[in-house]
Amino acid sequence: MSINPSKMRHDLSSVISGLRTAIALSDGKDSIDADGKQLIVLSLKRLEIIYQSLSEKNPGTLDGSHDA
Amino acid sequence: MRSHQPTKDPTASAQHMTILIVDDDAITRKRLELLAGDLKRLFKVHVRTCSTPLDAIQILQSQPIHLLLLDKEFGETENFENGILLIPEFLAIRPSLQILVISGSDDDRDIIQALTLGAFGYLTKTSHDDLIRLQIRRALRMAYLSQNALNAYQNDSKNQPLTYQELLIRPLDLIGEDFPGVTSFVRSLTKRLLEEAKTKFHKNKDIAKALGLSESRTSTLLSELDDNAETKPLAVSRGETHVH
Repeated sequence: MSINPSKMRHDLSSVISGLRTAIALSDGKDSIDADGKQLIVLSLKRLEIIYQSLSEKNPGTLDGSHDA
Repeated sequence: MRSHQPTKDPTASAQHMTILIVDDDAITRKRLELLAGDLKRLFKVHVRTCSTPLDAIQILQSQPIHLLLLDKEFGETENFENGILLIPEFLAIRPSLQILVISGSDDDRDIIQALTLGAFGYLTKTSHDDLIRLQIRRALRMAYLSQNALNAYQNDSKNQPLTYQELLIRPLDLIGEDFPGVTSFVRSLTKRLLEEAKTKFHKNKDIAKALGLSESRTSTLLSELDDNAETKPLAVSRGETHVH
């Protein structure tokens, strides 16, 4: 299985948008609330999947469906 | 960003609005849930989420949903199910439903197809938070107006003129001039209702009484009706509303 650039772009845009929103949610606050934290955790998990897909041992991870 | 502090929306006192988010991407679901939830300061909003179009159809069939935030691609990229193609099916279940497509695709062909099939609007997933909030807010207003229009015409056969008052006064007061498309929609309704009333009553005070309006407001609307020959007609049948 090969890496799908379209899928990777889609996933990365999702991560970027999620992190941006998480940062925006913390605007004016001293800490990140539970919702913002959940968004960051989801984004981090997606980044880990992308990272694993780029490793030589597991190149096909990105071809799987989303974490519904 | 939460830099702006919009004033409370007049629609807020009207009714509960339910938003259904349909996306197989957990990050996007959570993000949209938070952005839509922000509008709880303005509307009585309830937010639901699901991850497949099939789940969405089942929810639509069993619960009153006012706004659908719909993804385009479900499943694997190479063999995905296209959410845009399901827009007519969603609208068939609930004609007053507003659909806002929020997709990873910025292809103009997708945007045209979504709008042609009946979506209220189209955003990309990289859209700014404020733009997504604004579009959700606009779509909720349209959902409110569409639902009221349907209710009024469904009640029309029962001769309940007070529903006219709801249509004439509240939407016009709440939308102002910020949303020309919606204003045009409501004015076309106003025109139709006034024309119907004029066929039944000859005096302004009788028209005003029938529509639940003040005489001065009725006179103003009637004079606007006479002056405004550009307002397009509204074709409405029971259970279905179309703006031409």
